[in-house]
Amino acid sequence: MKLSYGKAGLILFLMVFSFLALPTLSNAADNDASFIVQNLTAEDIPNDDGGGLVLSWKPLSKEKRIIEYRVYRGASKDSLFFHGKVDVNVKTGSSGDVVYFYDSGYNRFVDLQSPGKLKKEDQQSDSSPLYQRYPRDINVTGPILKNYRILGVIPQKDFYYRNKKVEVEEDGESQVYAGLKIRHFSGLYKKLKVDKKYYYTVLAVTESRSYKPYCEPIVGIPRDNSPEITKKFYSVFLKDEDKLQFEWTRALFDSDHSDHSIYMIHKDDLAKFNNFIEVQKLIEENVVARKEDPEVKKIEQTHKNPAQLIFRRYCGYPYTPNNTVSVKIEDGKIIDTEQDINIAINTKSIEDYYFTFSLSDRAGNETFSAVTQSKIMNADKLPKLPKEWNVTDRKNDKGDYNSVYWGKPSVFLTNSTYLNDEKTKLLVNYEIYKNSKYNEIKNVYFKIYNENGELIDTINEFYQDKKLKVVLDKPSELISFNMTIRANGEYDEDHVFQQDLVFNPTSKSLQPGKLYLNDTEVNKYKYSVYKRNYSNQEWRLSKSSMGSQREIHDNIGYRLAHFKSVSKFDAEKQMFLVSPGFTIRMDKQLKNSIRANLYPSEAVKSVEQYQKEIDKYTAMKDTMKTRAEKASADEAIEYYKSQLDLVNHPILERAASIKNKKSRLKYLEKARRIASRSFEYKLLLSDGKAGFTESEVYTTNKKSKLPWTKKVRTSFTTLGSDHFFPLPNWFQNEKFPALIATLIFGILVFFMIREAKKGKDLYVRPIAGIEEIDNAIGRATEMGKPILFVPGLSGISDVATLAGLSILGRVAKKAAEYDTKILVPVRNYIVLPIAQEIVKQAHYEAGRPDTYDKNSAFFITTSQFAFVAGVNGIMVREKTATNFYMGMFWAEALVMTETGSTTGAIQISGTDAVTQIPFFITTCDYTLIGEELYAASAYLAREPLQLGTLKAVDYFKFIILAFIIVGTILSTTHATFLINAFPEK
Amino acid sequence: MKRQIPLMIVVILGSMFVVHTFVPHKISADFFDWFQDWIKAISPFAILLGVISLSMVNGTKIKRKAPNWQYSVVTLIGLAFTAIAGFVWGTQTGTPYMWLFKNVQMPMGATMFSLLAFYIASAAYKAFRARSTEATVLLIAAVIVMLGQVSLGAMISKWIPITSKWILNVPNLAAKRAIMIGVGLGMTATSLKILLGIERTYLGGGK
Amino acid sequence: MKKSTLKLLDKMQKVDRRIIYIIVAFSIIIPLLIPFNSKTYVTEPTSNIYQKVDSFAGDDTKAVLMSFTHNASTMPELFPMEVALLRHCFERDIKVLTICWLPAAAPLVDYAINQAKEGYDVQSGVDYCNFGYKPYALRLPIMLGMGDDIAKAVETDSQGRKIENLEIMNNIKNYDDMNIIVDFAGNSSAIQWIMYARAKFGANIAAGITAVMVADNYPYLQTGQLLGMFRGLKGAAEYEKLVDVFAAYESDKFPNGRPFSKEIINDTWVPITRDKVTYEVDGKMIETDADLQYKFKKARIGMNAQSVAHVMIIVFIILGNIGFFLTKKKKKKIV
Repeated sequence: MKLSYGKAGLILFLMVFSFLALPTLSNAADNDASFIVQNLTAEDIPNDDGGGLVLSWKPLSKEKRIIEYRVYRGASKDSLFFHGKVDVNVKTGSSGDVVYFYDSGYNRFVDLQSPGKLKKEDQQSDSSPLYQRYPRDINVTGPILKNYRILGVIPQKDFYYRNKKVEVEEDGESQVYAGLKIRHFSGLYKKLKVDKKYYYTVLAVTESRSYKPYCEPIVGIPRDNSPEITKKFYSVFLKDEDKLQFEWTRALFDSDHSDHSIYMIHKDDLAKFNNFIEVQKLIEENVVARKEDPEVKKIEQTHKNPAQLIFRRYCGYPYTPNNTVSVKIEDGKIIDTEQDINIAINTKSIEDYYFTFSLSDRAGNETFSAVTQSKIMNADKLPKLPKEWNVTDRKNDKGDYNSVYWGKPSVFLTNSTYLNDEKTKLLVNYEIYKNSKYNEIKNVYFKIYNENGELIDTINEFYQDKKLKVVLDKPSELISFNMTIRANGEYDEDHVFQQDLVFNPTSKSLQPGKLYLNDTEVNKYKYSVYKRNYSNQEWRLSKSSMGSQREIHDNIGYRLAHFKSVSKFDAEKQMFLVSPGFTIRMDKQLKNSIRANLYPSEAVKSVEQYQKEIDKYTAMKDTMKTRAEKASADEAIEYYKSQLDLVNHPILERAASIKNKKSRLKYLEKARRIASRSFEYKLLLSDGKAGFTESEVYTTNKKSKLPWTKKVRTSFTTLGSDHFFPLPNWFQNEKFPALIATLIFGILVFFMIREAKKGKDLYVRPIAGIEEIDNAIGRATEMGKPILFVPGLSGISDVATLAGLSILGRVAKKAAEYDTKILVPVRNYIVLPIAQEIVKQAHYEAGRPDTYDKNSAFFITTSQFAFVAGVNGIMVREKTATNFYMGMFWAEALVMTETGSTTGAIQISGTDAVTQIPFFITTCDYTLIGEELYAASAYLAREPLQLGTLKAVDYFKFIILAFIIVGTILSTTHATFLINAFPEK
Repeated sequence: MKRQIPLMIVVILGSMFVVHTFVPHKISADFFDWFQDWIKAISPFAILLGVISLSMVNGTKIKRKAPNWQYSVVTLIGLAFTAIAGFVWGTQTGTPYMWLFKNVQMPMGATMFSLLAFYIASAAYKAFRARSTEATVLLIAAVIVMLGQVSLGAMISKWIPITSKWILNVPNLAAKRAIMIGVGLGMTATSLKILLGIERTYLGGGK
Repeated sequence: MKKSTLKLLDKMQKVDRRIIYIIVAFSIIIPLLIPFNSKTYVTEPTSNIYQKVDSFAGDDTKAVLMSFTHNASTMPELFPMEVALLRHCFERDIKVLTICWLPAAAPLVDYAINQAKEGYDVQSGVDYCNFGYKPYALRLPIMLGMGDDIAKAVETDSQGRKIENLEIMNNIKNYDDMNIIVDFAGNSSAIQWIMYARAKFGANIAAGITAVMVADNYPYLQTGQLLGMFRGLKGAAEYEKLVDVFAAYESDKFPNGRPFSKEIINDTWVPITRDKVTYEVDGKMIETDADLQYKFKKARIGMNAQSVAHVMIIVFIILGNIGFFLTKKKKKKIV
């Protein structure tokens, strides 16, 4: 065991040598040129909004030991900033022949973690154009703003209260902005600009982190493409209701979509329409080609589009849009005044018409789907919505969910397995979908029929453990189940679910077939819940669910941030500038947004601005000649007039009346919060092919209590009846039994402590391990060897550690009295000062402060097995006579105790780690099992307070035992109320 | 005062956490998040304490030329070396720090872990003696479970794996649950004692 | 004479631990170095997984999802399971998706896929797809999100490609299109899948866990919430055999492996000392063309070592007890 100078020196030398040799040994022989990445290309991503490029290059061979590829990007060739990286597994290399890297959407620009100053990339020469990430230095990043679309995410409070009013001269007029420092943004994000040139390069990094030379920068230009073709488009004509219904599949990439439209084409015009589309496609290609090379000749549309618009709707990005619509035909006409639609349609010969669906984006590109014809049917063939459906604020949460639920609970089979080789015993699994209303399922009845339709068995599941055991006379290939439910005390015998278990030859087992409810296939239809708040025009999808589901929880997060586009900066003030306006809600007609401003003076100014614009256009109208010009002027006047009206909206008026700046913003934020977090709901049941039934908007007259004053609520009249705002709850009802139990326990403790204080003798079962502690310490003293105490491996938040430390207190005190050295190795550095303090205090209490060694409790390492190695070393070298292990232990337990037993020490252990108890029992002389660890300190102290608590635990255990026995008996006799009174988790 | 202030912090924060358990409200959730941030902020200081302790213990040993003081030199150099490697070259893959982690710490840890196999064998040999009826039952159960785990068991009799499964599922699980209930109660009692200020050893000293 | 017997018996009781260590070391090392044929009995929790995975072989509208929630420390037990399951999928033309939740697991997923796919004509993004590392903090939202739309919840794969653009995802939308989800972990992380993916969306869940944690997960297996379970190295060995016997089987009638049958598995043995997949049925040997590489029998070789070690420990226990009993008797007589 002795380590000489020579050996120690050798070990050190080896460590240092292996270290220094590492970078030189690997890939020393290769030259740098062979590490340059080949075939780097940047291509436009199809169907996108012009903000995406995909880079690809050939990966270097596995032998090159590459760990990552780093991508750099810039708007000019001479300064390229680190943009992202692709990690590579050194052992396997890149799988595939090409490495892809997507530069699309908004990605990190600058945030608090960015470097402070502009820094050259590591291992680059002075002439290299490569830099690390964009720095926080606004003098560097400010001028770059113009190269990208920049989005700033600003936490609420920072936006309202940390901004600085900045005036900027623009075109001779002064414009007001809100200035914010970088630390006030939770992040700034960038996206590529359409038709702008970007330069990219890639370099490889080897295993030893050597940056290899970058490849020659290449150019990529993102283009705005037309939307993708909608894959599927369905149409249904309801003969008896004179109604057209449409449904389509949603687009994958929709960030720049603006409208969903449906066109109608008469069969005679179909050829013309196809020609039109053909030319349209050519034009699109032509536009891109002309951007690349202006010499290319322009193609003009030669055909007229014969399709007639019958429906158009704004699609409401960034939310998932509604993908269904029904269009009413009245007196042979489709009319929509808002979209200027007034079209005649002959409902007698609906088969003469074709329909097409189009997606259009903000740049004006439009893509048509394949044409389709209507399926003709009557309304009674449509799926039926449940009679009753509800919306409520979800209970027991922090106020971020609304619940939408419908119908009665459903039950269905999920799987089955044979339990014996004869295939006559079956384990069948089932599941239940409950909802907020029907949440107490008392019984589920299963009637089981064989293939001849004979009833084999009836099972009453009064406690739903999600499994059934079915016994058959002989192996069967088909078993039918009829399932009914008693929920909330109601039993509906007409609500029967039917499902078969059918033999599947591939899996050689009985597998569940389709689920039917009263002969209707349940999962053929899907529920979709749509929602809309006060600040959006369009409905958006909340969630869709299978036909068997009965409830969805709609997440309404606490909105905390403002999203602002950033294009200006102020180098002097070190600030980014954003517009000070923000939207509160839409007006009642959902046409215009009501906007407020951070600065009251600016709000007043905008009134003047609107008036000026109206005057300007009115004056201009006199000089205008064409009708189109006049119409657009009228439109502008109309718009500004409506904006003027909105300035007088009660919310803004009231805000204007508040003098204090902070309270004004607080009031506006409250209104904004109510507007964006209150939702109205609509339920839709669809077969996915335009055969759908849509509910009305849910309303209730049972208004729940809302916390706001009447003044606030006058602006939101439908709140509580149509719109639902999720409120936070003050008590989690499921935890009620836990609360009661805690109270009972508390009372027991109080009572027992009083008894103990009165001097009543409380009997405590002798625990051998605890009684032996003194003897074990005495043994160490006799032998003149130290004591080892390991207070577990976990942190201070683990109660076992606390229990271990309290035993340490007694042990250290005894050791101090006997003047025996104690060693306390610690793994957790937060436990360390506590352990030190305990040992110190023990010496003081024992009256031996002079013998206290501040190094007796010491830190080894946080690494689990390195800690064990350390402790084992101490046992072997110091020949400790007594070892204590008190606290939480994992797999290392046996390694420690077995070493202890080889050194011949007396060992006493205590842990609540169930998996380690067996190891302790076999290797230690005494073991405190589970709760005995917690009882030890009370046992040692023998104070009334401690003993009282200990006794209370015993009585409480008795109560638990009583509940277990009573619960078992009751539930065996079908009385499940006791079991159901406790929460499942 | 030195005792009272920490005790007050424990009692107040502890009670707030008890309340947090029952209250799902936003304020309660925010309090919890805020507290988590504090824990993150405190731990770096505690690391410093750990490093100081390690240096002090080993430094004293070297100064006093205590037996085996050479090990302490290795420890301190290892500590300094790893720390410097992390600070200078960073902790990404491919850096010396990660190299040390992968090629020194991981295999050493694995070595310690694999010692378990040997220790289990010798512990089993020592422990499983049919000293009493209970010990005999334990012995037989252990043999059956061990045989049930390997194919030899099934070759001897098809009942061995089935019995092994039953032992794990029924008596074993029952005992485990009983211990868990005891542990749960013990934890609650200890927590309560800390909250009420009955148990104060963690503040240093017995009373 | 009497004294020397007593001495021997005493020695039997107190064998030096170093001798035990040496014997244990050899009983582990030798079977690892020199593989021998041993019988592997397939248990139900393992064969249930096999059957479920196999039930949609060749069907491109269903996929298997493998979730890796472990790091290198539990690799010896879990890695052979993963390789065996991947091999099964590649043999039988089953789509596989992989995802991992710890940064240290990302290279393991790559390693497993690369090891299993050698020799199979499979392509990333077409036959399998590695979603890569997703932070553990996002596990819950991703798990729930996948019930609606996998492409939206996961977004990109390990190579940074948009998942929605990949060929493999053509018919795969959410858990409805998921044949089974297998979570590999050294703890009870499969419970989360049960709580969210199963309870909410009815997905089939199975778990691959280390032998120590098996007891903790038994209750879920009992209730059927876990469809199946790889129980430590033994589970991996059983799956390796299942793949050999069924998925790797080739004949004119079943060019792509044969369907599972309880009857076949119970009396077919696969000798692991051979380099080709060989079946031993009723004492007759049938050799096939399929290679039986070391990586595909790793668990079974490991189980040899485990079996020998277990037997050695049992022998030690018995020896110790014999010594203990005889000494007690002798002592009584002497007294």
